[in-house]
Amino acid sequence: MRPLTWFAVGIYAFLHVPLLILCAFSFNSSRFTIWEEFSLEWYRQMFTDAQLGEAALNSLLIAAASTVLATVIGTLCSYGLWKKQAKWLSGSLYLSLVTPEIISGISLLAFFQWAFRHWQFQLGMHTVILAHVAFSISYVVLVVMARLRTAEPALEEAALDLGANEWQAFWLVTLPMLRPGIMAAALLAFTVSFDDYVITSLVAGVDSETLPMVLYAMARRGANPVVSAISALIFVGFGALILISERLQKT
Amino acid sequence: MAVIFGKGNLLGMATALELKALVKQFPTARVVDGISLDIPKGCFYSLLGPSGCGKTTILRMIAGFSEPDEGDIILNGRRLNGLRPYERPVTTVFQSYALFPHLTAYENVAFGLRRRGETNFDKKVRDSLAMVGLAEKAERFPANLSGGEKQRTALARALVLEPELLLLDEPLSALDPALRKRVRLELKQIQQRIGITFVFISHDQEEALSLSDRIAVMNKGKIEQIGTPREIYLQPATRFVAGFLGAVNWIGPVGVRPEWTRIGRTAPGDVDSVAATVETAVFLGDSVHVHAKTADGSVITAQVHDSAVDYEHGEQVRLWWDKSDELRVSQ
Amino acid sequence: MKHLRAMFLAPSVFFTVVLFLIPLTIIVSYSLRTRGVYGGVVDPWTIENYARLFDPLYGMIMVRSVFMSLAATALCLLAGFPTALFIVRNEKHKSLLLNLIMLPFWTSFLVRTYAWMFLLRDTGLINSALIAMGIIKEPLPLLYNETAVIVGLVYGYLPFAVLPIFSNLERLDKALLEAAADLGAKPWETMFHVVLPLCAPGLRAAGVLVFIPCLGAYLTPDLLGGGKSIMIGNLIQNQFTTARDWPFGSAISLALMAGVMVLLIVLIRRDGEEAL
Repeated sequence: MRPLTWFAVGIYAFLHVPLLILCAFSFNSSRFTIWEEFSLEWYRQMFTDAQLGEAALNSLLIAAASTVLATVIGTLCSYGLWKKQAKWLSGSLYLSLVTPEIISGISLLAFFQWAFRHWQFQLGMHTVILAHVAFSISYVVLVVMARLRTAEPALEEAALDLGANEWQAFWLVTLPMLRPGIMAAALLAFTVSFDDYVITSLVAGVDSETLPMVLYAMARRGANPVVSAISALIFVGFGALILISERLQKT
Repeated sequence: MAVIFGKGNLLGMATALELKALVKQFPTARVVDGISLDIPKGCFYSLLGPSGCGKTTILRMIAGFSEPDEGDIILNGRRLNGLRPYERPVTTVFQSYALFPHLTAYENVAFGLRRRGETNFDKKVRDSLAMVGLAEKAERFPANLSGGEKQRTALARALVLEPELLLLDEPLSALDPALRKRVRLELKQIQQRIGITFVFISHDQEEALSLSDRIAVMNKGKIEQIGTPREIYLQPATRFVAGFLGAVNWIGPVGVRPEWTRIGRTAPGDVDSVAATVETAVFLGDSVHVHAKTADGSVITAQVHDSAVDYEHGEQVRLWWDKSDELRVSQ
Repeated sequence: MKHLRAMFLAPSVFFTVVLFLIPLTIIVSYSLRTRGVYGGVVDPWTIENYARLFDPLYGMIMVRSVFMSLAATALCLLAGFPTALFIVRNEKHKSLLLNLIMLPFWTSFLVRTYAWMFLLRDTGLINSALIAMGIIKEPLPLLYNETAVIVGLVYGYLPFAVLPIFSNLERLDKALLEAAADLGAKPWETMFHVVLPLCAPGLRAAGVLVFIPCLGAYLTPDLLGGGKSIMIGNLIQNQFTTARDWPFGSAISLALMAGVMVLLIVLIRRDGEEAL
């Protein structure tokens, strides 16, 4: 038992210490990795950087739009599949879940380029949102389906039996029952969308630079404490989001 | 007599539900194979049979969750085929109760009344909950109700709509045995009070015998026998019915239930008896089951009601019974 | 009801077909065509792109990707099994411990990768600390090598290993362990002869769930491996951007996709669809 505990402590340290150190050094006044004194300088720089602000706004817009769309579409899809299987659809959704991001990205890029030859439009916010909806749907289906699988099939029959029509049975019984699952799915869709770099960078246009794209560029350029500050903020922001959602799901 | 009782009505009672040559084919089997039934108004009617005999499929076809491939379902003169579940004046108490987890007991009961567009349903809901003894627990969610309370909520929810027919899908099977006997009694009393026709699905013969006015015993998609509880127990038409309703000792084509089989070290002089050797005697508290092997190798069980009596392995005994207690079955 | 279901499925069918299946089909068709002089995709049709997969230059990258992914997967299983065991045994704090495993997973992948750049680079925390303590004079080359990539992969995908092993361990009947002890097995014997064999499906699922994203990794080798330790993902990206050889990039993508699918099919054949 003892060695196992030590081992586990080591694993938890491995998972959390790098992020905690990163957060801690975002408050360091020096731009080097030697601690000097506490400072909010990098946070000031972060909040006054116009490019960062725009990218963050883009990311939020894209994540919000694609989350709403993917959650609605994915929930309807799960319900339809739960009623009656469609092997090819669930198979395709599953395949899109395990497809390496880089392949989804280049195939969407190839598709959009091909489509541009026939219709007049360009890469931009809309292509990013479309791409995000496309890969988020399968996450939503995965989560909502898990919830549906534990649901009691007789509930909807009971609703029909008591005089509700199919639409009312879905709206008044199944949907309220699925609410925690749908919320968890939306949260997951939001996170994967907000976080995505690989696919986004391939299908983004000039007007749609996202936060991960700016972060990536900064990270490649070399040590930059502003990146640490953004990282800390994202870390704390998502942590809070998850805590809030867990609270909501419990009540 | 049995034929008249089986197919026809009790005199003076109108038919509530009529099933005509119902057939349902599943990919691997014909689960309902030409079922015809008349269920009288106000009757507590049971469909009894082992799992997979087709009884649940029949219930689902009456409720409208699935459609028969052939045959008609007629309720009070109106053909139900093709109607959606919400268009049928039939409600169901589900095996799992299927209470809506996000609604209180009160709202579960009000659900159907709301769907009908009723607005002044408060009294109906309260009365219905009071009838099943749950007036105090109206605001509880299903998660905070006990098994028996859930069962009664499901009953109230189905009855408040005053259906022409109530379907009950093994509603007692999820309860523990002690509670089951009590709820059984309540169920019977409620049915007698309100007079709605109940169609009850069960695989438990004791439950069906104690509750029903009429029982249809089913096997492999067909009806084996229809009759009152007494008829099917005392005069089973087939070997299957005899065996399904209780233990039977088969001596060639003749069956005798263990409780009617007598055992003694000697038999009274004026009856035919069978010689046997005791295998085991099982003490059951209020009685003793003695298993004895006859000369042809078959084992016969005799139930001895005097639990003080004891037999030992290898003991020579005689077995006998009244000719009038013999079960004469067709096959 | 049929209409309702069709309406419910229509939007997802549209998205799946238009934004997943058609793009994949385009990639399939590109992989069988020729690279244009200025980088476009032109006729004639050819299987030349697939033949080039066996070119030692590219073959090496693929073989190395497989070995690095295998190493990362092995490390994830070795770290994941005891961790999952630890969580299962801590009945009281089970959900907290599990959430702590998942927490970094909910933060940006980019941030998590950057955290390791922050630690490993020449002016990073580890080198700075070692120099400050006087242990080394020159910074150690910790970043931009295969080890850094493997560490990054393990860091990124360890939760994928812990979860399936955990759920398998949790399904395990506790009475089996007691039965083994009752029959005279010492704790380590119970572990090797009862727990591990019964955990095989969880370990297999964990292995596949870690191996697949590792094999297709792009960001980790890009940021932690620099230009030196690139993997298949970077090769594909390179063909679609700098090299402008879309047909060859498509062929590599499909080879990778085929590898992923074979793995999944083997696992599902063995352990059933619920395995994942």
